[in-house]
Amino acid sequence: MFVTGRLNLPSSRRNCHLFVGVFIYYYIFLFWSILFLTLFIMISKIYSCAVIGLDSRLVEIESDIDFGFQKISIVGLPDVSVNESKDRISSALKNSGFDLPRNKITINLAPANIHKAGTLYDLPIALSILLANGQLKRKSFDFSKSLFVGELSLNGDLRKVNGVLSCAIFARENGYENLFIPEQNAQEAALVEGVNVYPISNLNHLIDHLLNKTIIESFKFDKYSYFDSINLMDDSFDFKYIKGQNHAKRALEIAAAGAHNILFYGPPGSGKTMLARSIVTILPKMSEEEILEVSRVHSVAGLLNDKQPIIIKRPFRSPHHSGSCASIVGGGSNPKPGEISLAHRGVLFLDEFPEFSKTVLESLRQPLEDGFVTISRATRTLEFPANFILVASSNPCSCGFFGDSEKKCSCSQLQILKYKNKISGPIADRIDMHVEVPRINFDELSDNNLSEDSASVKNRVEAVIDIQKNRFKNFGIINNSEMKNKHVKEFCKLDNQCLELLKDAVMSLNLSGRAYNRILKLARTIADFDNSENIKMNHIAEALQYRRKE
Amino acid sequence: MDKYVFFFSTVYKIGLKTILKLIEFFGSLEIAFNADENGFKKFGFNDFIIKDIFNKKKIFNFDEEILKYEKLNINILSYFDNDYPSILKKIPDAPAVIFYKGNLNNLNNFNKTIGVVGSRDCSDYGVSVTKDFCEYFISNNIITVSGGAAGIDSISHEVSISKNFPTISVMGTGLDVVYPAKNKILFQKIIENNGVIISEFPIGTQGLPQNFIRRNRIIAGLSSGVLIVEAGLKSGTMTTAEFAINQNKNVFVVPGSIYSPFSEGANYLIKNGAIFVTNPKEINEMIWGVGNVQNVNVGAHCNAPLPIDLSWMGIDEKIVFDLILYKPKNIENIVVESKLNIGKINFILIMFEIKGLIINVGGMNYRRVN
Repeated sequence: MFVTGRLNLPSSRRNCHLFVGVFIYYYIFLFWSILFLTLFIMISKIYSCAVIGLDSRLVEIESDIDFGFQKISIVGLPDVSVNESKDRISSALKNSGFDLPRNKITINLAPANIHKAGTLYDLPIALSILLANGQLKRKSFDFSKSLFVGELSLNGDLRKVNGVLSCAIFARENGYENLFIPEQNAQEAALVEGVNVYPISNLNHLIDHLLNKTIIESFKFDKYSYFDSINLMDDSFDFKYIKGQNHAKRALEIAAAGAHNILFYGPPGSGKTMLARSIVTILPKMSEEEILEVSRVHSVAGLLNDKQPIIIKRPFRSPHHSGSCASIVGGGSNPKPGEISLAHRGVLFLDEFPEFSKTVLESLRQPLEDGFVTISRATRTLEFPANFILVASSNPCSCGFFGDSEKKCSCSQLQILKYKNKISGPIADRIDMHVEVPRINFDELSDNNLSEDSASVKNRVEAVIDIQKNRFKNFGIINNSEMKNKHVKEFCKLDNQCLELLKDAVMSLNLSGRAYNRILKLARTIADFDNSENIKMNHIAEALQYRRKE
Repeated sequence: MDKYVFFFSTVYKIGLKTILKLIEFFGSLEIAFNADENGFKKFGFNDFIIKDIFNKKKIFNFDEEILKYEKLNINILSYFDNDYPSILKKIPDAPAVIFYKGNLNNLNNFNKTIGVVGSRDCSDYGVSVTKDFCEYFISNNIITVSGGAAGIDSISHEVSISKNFPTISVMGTGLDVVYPAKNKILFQKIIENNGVIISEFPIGTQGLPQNFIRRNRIIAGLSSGVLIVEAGLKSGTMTTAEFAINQNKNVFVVPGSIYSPFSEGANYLIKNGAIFVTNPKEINEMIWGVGNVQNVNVGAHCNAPLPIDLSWMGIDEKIVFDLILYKPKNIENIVVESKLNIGKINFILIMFEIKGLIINVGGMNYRRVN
């Protein structure tokens, strides 16, 4: 609209016209600029999540495109791996056929106070850039109900990331309906029900889906048939292949049933390691809940892969004794679960137990007591689950033959004492069963004694576990070994005969007072094998057999 | 305690023999103490020893030294004191000065001593032999002398303590040094129990290998005979045997299995003329001429059935009990031979163990208790 003055009008009137004209110009400019801002240059928001410990937190990803030289800056406490993502993203966008805006792009990861690490923000950042410069239409898809997670490769394909299971659990708990994740992570995410999991193989596929061009089907996963398809029995460590050692096998059976920690000790070559490894074959199947717990830890640790997308077998971890405290207990500046958490709901096997460093052994105290480990760093305190059966093996001394009746021990008294002192009292107290594994002269054993196979032992173990589940269903624990003092008082009542026996044992076997509760818990498990309501004398007696011998 | 004996005994390479020669040469040790360099040269000391004498003389303060020992409750005796054990005076290289803690009178009161020595790492066999023999000695008022080391030595002391009988422990270190450290309480108990701890080394002397060998000379010296229970072929116990032979004392050896590495030295000694014993009475008879060899009955522990109350046992218990004899048997063999359930066997074994019928000798091997 143009305003032109008429010549015959008085000059004052003409000035008035000019004044109005400026205002009108101004309003027109404002109208167009607001229109431009709302349509094209707009702050866009995408939701993703950060994995902190085993938990997830919502991360909002905002992008803004502003005039200026081409530059991408990421703010909101990104670490190096997040900061590098801008180079991956620009290549991925280019190679997927999108234009990277030739302007200044600011990406904010909110909340800005939590540390962001890992590669899982590649996909959401890329989407928010596309959204910000209008290559992706906001109206076409409801972004507020979706979480995006994934690492981009330079050609726009998606790569697997760690901790997807935690993201899926977060999505379910916080009402996010859709979860877009790399294709390789689909199975673990699908363990969580109530979330639509969309497996993405390529950035273009996702964009097409978001623009309603081609629809990606949400991932359908029949987990039960998948669980059944996995062969749980690892035949190579079956009980039937272990000749003799009935005593140790019986101890393993009890340990597996009551989740008691067990220490084997004996000279080299007596079969401690083989026995320890065979415990996996008699452990019961994991429940669905347990599979979720265990897979979650493995997901965060990045140990899930194509061959093993979900952990279905009970974990068996056997870290080497040179392992550092952070690797075994968990840690790092961005704390990751250690071996004890990876062994959650399974077995942690520490071969050559006294050879582990003192700090490692002592830091096992809390997890052995509580079933979880608390890792504190200056910035945060995290908790990882660590409810495992500890199976340890040890020699009686550094040469291994102390106490052997045939071979002479070559250690000095001091060496033997030092070796024994490596396992401190508090740690030894947390191990319910101390089992001596002697060297056996196999010629002396008759050949016709057939060993029982693991499957039948497992049946017994599962029966005992069912008994325990029934008993503790209102107490928040599962196994006899988890009983606290009040539970021991309630469930391990002894008659006079048993008390008498225990009193005798304290006198003649040099039992410490601390061993008392341990023996009661163990006797409870042994009584459960007999399906006996009360602990009887023979149960106490057998439990005494697994005491710690000084 | 003679000041000058104490001084000369601290000098490098001077022992009792030299001290006696000094007395002979100078007339008395006091004159020798005040002698000049030429005097010592005439006597035949080399420069090194003379230097040591004069260096030590400069800082020597007898009263201070004695005070140090008094503070630690350590008594000192010189060869020339009346209380010096007469049995020790007889050996050719008796220590000029001995230090002791406890009550030395028992040595002269009882008059019967026997050295009981063996290897530090011993088998279950060695342990039970030591226990049986020591119990016999105690019941016959014979004091055991041993070295306070781990293994057989400690066991012989422990038996005496449990029977409230004095025992003598000869140390290879100064009396303020506890070696092995884990025997600290044992040594205290020996003193509390009217026994004595003896050493020829001044306080502060650490446990050097050569000191322990010299210590063995005193063990043999304080004993009327030496009993060797288990010994490796190259062990300190063998040097004790050597000292005993040189001191013209009987060496008694308990035989062991020819396959046992713990008894190699013991069997070697028997082969070379040591006295073979199977019964502590033989020792008593041999040294002091008492007892009647015909009545010897050591084998009693091993062969004759003991009157054990078996009436409480069920069938399974009896089966297991019959399987376990005096030779240690592994739990695995018990399982196979009894054909019983392992849980049941565990129960039976622990009941036996509590009742004191069997013991676990290590490695899940069980044997009957004598």
